[in-house]
Amino acid sequence: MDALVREHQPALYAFALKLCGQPQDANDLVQDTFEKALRADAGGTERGNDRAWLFTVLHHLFIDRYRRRARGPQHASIDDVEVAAREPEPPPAWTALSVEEVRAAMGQLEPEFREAYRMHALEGLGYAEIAARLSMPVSTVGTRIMRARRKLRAILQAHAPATRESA
Amino acid sequence: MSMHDKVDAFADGELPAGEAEAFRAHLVDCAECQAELRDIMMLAAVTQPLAAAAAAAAPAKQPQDAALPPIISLASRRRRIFIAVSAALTAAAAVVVIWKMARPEPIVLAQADKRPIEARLSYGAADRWRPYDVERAAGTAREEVRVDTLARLEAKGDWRGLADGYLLGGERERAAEALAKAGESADVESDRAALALQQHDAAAALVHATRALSLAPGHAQAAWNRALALRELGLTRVSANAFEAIAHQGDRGWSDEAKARAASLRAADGERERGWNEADAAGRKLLATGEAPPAEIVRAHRGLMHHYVEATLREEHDPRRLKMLVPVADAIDPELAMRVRAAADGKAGKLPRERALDPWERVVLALDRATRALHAGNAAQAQLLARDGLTAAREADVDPRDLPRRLLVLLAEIARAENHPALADAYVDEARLLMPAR
Repeated sequence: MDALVREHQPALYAFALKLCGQPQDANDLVQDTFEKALRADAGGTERGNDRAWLFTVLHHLFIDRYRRRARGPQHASIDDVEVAAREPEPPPAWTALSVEEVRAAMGQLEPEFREAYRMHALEGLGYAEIAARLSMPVSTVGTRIMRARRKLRAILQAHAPATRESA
Repeated sequence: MSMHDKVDAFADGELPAGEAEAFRAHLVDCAECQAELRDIMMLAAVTQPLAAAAAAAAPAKQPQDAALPPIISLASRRRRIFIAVSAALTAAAAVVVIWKMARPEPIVLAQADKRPIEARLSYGAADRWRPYDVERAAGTAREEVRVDTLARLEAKGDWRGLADGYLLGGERERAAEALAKAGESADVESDRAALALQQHDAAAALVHATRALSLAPGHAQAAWNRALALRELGLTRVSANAFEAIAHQGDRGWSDEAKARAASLRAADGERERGWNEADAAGRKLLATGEAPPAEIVRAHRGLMHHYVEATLREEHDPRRLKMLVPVADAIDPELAMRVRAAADGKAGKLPRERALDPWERVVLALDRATRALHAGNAAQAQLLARDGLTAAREADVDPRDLPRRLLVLLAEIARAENHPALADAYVDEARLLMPAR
């Protein structure tokens, strides 16, 4: 468990912060995510890709939290929260992917999309910084990243089941 | 743009706070956007190992700081965990989780090894001396400031810190908004000066920096920003003096840079004066002997040479000497060249009566108009005209001491009429510093 946290906490927190827009909520969200992971561990649940699974839990909890915030009472505490009957599972097409498959998919992107996406996803740069480095408007960077993602998803989801046997 | 199109920007933390909040409200009810967001997160998850590999290949950016206090109540956390797990061992592991989660990272604003803006910022975390990135600032000056850092500053209501983060990030409007909430202090005034410098409003920068210094005499960042504002106003000598004073304060890094800036301002000033004197001597020679000045001097001092060619044209009647003026006039201005040719051919009488003003005349005219505007009580218009005059004076290559001095005195009068004593004083100081050179 400790290893799981050490390995995934930074990435989860970074993403949670983007979702929540402020550190306190992000911290809580990641905390809840690991808590859920802890329970699942205790229950001996079998999981494939830890990271994809943690991200799925994070996604689930985030939506849940904001749904409650939008509708429910402001004072909801952890004791009121029903334990979800069913743990959210990542779609299988995502869990079976190897690093090589992801790398290969990125290689299939047109160079200008690949560059913007690489700077964003691998170097962790914001749109503005990418725009400055590539000398293009920020809105163009946004569009390129969006299109790179759509293409990657199409490639990865189409090929994942077929390549799984060879992995 | 519809809400559905914002999911990528939202997931990347790139929506402004208001739009992000609206998107969250939309997201809870939109299955389509939820699925989209989940896929973006899945993609992030599977791409993560590549990012980790890329990060491992690059040198580490910032050290982890373990000494900071936790921001979340551990007690309530511990209770929550105990509800979930029974095994004591797992609970111990959970405490490790909490400890890790609760530890905030230190606020680090100045992360890059060069600074993207010339000005100094008052916020401690942003004011570390780093060499100024001139090359980068020539484009859009900005430094990547982490979204979470900005979010933490905002959460704390630390508006000055937030403004400085935005300034480093090149987001001037947001910096201005944050500074508007930051209250009144020497630090805030100094940062307003930094923002005004980024907005190329040197006069406002000077006013803010001077106000900061009156609130806190010796304020290091304000003194720096004031020196920059003076330079931007073209007040080279006052600016050099200001940087020299900073150099003596022994503020590591900044002192050395201030010293270098003072030296380069003085060198440029001296160079300009030497060049001008040389050109002036060549112009006098032209007037006295008809000897054409060297081509590179004509190119570099077109305004001054224009002035001397006009003078020669008025006084010289020898067609042979006038012919020698033709190539000089050709290098300066087509209209001037036309008149020189006509004079050399003895057709001066047939020239149109009205001719374009030469650069020196433009300066005198601007000065004259500005003075009249000021006396008519229109300080704002006077200021515009005087600025035109100053620009024209630079183009016209008038004596770098003489006409600018008259203009500076006029600008000082204008500034005083507009209730900007700091600006007035700066103009007067510069005029005074120009004086002994005569």
